[in-house]
Amino acid sequence: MSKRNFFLNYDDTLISEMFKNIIMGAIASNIIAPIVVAYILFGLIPLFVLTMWLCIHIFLFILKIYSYKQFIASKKNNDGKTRKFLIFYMINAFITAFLLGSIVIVGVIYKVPNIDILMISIFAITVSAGSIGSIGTVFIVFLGFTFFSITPVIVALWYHGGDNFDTFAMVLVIYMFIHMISGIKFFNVNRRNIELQKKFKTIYNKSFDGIALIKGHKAIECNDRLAKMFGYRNGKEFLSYNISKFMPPTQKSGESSMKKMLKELKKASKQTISFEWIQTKKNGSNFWVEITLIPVEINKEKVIYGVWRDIDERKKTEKRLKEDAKQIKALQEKTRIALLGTNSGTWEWDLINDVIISSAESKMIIGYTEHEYEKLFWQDLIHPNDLKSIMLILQDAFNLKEKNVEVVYRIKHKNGKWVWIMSKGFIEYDENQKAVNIIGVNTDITAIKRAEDEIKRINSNLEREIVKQINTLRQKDQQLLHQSRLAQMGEMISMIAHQWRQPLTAISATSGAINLKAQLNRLDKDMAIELSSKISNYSQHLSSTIDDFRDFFKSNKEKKETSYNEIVQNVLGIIETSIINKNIEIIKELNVNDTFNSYPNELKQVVMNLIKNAEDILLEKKIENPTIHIKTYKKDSKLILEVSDNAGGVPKDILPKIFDPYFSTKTKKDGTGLGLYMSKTIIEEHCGGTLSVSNSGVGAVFRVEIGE
Amino acid sequence: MDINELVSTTQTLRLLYVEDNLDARESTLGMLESFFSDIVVAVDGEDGLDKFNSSKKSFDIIITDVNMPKMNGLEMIGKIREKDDKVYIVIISAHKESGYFKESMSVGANEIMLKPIEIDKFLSLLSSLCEKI
Repeated sequence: MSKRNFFLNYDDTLISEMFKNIIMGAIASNIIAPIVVAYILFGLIPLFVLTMWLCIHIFLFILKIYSYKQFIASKKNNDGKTRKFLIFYMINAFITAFLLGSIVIVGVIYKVPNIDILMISIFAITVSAGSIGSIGTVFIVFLGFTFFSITPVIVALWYHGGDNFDTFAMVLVIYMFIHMISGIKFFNVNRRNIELQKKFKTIYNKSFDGIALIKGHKAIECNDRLAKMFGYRNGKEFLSYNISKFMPPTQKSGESSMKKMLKELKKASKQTISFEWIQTKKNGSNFWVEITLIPVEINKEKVIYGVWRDIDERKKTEKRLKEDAKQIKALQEKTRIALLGTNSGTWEWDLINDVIISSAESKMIIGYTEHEYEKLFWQDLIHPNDLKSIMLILQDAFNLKEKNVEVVYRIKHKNGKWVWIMSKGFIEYDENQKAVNIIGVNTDITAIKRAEDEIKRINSNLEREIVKQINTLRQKDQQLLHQSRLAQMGEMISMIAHQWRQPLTAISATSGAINLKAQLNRLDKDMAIELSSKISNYSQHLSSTIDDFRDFFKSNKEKKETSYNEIVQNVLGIIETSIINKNIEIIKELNVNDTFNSYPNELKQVVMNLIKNAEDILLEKKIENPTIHIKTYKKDSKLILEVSDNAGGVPKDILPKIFDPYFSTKTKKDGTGLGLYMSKTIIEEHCGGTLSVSNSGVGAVFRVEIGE
Repeated sequence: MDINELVSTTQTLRLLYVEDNLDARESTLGMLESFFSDIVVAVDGEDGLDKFNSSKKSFDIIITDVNMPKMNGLEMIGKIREKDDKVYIVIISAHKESGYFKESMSVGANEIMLKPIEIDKFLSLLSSLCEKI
């Protein structure tokens, strides 16, 4: 026997069952039974005792009604006070029982006739016997009630004494035990039923499927799940509608829903059937269900047990899958067309099993149909040289865990020709970083390769042509340089000739003088010495002139300390006379005595070139009062040498290209166009300075700047 | 013509010698002094023209260089010839081009002598000059 029976941890349903019956119980035990007893004992016991006894009963009745109401409210509010009202009621019931039983003791004490004692005893026992029906669902209350109502009766009967009464008391003791045992049995059956009912109710309502019992054409019972599936609050609401409300007018096939359903129900009365069906929810929307109908018999009545499963999601998914499949197919088709259009095909290489699967397009590139290719291996068709390099590239990619790989190779077409393929692949690795699979695309790039080769060929021809042209230009350059050198030498020779003319004249004149004086006998010793030493001096002068020129043309191999003064004087020593003879004024403004390390002969050539240019332009333009201004000065630690003229300056459009090679404005045939180019090269590349040109108000200014 | 005879003739003549180069001028003078006692020396064309114009006595001979600063020999000859067509003008020049000869003659020079001076040619020039005067 479970301990639960004697404590207060009863299932709420059991307590609720008890409270449902207490009004009837209270009327029986607190109203009817006391009135009957009072009628029997009226006049036999003092009236105040009887009145008090009745009043207590009425008070207890009121309290019972109160506790019942409180219990209902507490249960509804779910405030956890239901136990409190159970205890309250339990005490009330015990007092009622004791009051009913103890009135027999009162009757014995006041020595009422035996027949009355017997009657009130039977009343008390009758009320107690009725207690199984009203309070039997809470065993402890029933037990207490029985005990407190019958025990005083037994005590009273024994106290009264007499053969019959003693026997009656004995029988009552036995009766009480039997009553208690039947009470506990009643309670246990009740409890089990309630627990079972609860389990089934849970299963029934929490079931994933909707469940209904159908009788004829009407649902007579359903679970909450079914109601909710159709969008109703509960089964009660659901069952209040006719089944036609739960279906659209027609099913997907176009058949009338009602007609078809009646047919199905008819079938289901004989066998279990299952079908998919469109239902309508309370809000009017349709959804798919799978209905299973099973014929069953309940209480000898033939009904149909129906199970509804919501398959709307499944249906939608199916529909989506169908659409997806359609799209995938379309995409595949597009991909196929795209691949074909670009001469490409896909392939997949299972590295674990070393199987290469090539798509039909891939095979088509090399001229094979699906069927023809069956016995061939892609690897066998690849050019042996290329196969090696492919393997090396792949090995590298695997080692570096690269995801993308690209190879270009030749493969033998069915027609025997080599086809160039560019293959790009995506390498997949397993969790151990081992390459397991490659998926890729082959593209026929033969045409591109051919074009590339053609371009290469054209390029190499072009290169050769360029080299040829460059060589020609170089030769031309050499020729021009040679020309320019010849021109410069020619100029030099004419300068030498000019320089020599005077000493030669002097020598010839002096020797003429000696000759004449000798013929006229006027030559004495002193005069002979004087004149011959003069000739010797002139010869020395000639010799030094030669040296000057030779030095001038000799390139300095090493830097030497020099100064603008030295350079300008040296250059003017050679050309000043010839310039002055052309009535050109030379103004010297030499303000720098600083020395610097450079290549003096190169610098002399530059200065000579600048002065000669000035001379040329002055003569060409027939300028009045022609002047060449040579000026040296220091500015910001830079040593500057300027050669300027008054020939009107360089035209603006010529300024940017005046230092270009082969650029000349000279009308004379000896303008090679290399003078300024070479001067700039000498200053800027050998001497680390700059050579620039600008226009002053009257003419061109060439400026040499050399850092100190 | 005997050289002594030649000298005795030339001694009477008055000479204007124009030369810009000092060496050439002095050395040539050394030779000319053997023949001429009256020599006026000028250092360029302009100087030569000035001295010719400012001289009270007329010159018999002018010996001049061509390439000179300020005023060249040809220009000077041209200007002198405007005033005096009798004076005997000799150019001493290094130029050998035939165009140059023509130009020299056109401005009014009588003779051209090439530098460097050959003594024999100089003597024969003086001889022919003396005969003409």
